[in-house]
Amino acid sequence: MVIRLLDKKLPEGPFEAGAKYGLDILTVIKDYFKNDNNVIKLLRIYNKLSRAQVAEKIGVSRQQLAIIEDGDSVIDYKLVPRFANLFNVDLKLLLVILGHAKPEILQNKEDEHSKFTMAARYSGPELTDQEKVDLEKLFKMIVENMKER
Amino acid sequence: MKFRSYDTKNGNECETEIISANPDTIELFVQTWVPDYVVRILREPENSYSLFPWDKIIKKSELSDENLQSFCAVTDGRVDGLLCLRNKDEYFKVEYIGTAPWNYGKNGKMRRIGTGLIYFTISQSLSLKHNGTFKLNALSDAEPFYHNIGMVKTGILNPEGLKEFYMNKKKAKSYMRKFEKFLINENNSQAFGRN
Repeated sequence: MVIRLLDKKLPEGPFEAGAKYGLDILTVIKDYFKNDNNVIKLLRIYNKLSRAQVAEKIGVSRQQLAIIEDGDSVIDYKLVPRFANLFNVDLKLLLVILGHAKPEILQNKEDEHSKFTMAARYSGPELTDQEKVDLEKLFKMIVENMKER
Repeated sequence: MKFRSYDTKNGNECETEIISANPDTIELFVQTWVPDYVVRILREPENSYSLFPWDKIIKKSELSDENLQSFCAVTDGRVDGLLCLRNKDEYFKVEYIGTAPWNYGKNGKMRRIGTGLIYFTISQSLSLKHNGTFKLNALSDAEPFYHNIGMVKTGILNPEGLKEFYMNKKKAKSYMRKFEKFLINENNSQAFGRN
């Protein structure tokens, strides 16, 4: 399948960059994607879903989804687990790619401590007190879901 | 060179051709390998696959002197494998070799792409008076593959700590004999030094 969304000037950096061990996913996205949110569009196309279908499942309008896919703004953190669930991809990695968590969390093994400290490493925009409470509830819900799986 | 590869998803043999890489190859790498790689890692992040920057590798081999050349393995218009070779008087080397992300692992789509590229390497080595021998530095995950095809560790590490593997003349001959049953033709019009 040829997905013509990577219409970006290719990286001009030194040849050796990445050519020794290969590039990791974060570098691939930085080098080849127009912006990080394009990952959502890529996942939608790969799963052969229309914008209308994804928007309905995620709980946004089609127009909002279009803005999400092609825009530069950080996606609302509440939507990230819904995308991860819908496309059956790793939530932690998606949070890192979309700017809601630092890459360091990917190094931690799956243990209780690392799951709960995920909230502590949040690196998105400044949160209100209520949002912080909501976020903690959200992550606890995610952890419970993981346990059930 | 053309050989018979195997499509595990459709359960049939296909024709794969190895030709010189060109600007279209770069476009196909960016538009097919890159997205597929990203989706695969998102689905299975525990996999340690990494992606070489083939756009840079192919461009460098086009711009550099004749010592470096890139090739691609193409099946039905799809780039299934990539290869970059270096020819020096003292040695013949695989600088980079890779199969497309959709071919990774036990459930990968196409079989024999990597082994086909190795056969092509040996055949180029023969035509360039290296007697079928060549060397490469292996990523750690790929070491079993090279061991299985008869290459041996030389004990030398490159500056990145990757182990050097070497295919000697005898093993190269034996490898060619085993792979020949998949060969369709060995047309050398895309050989090293010619585009």
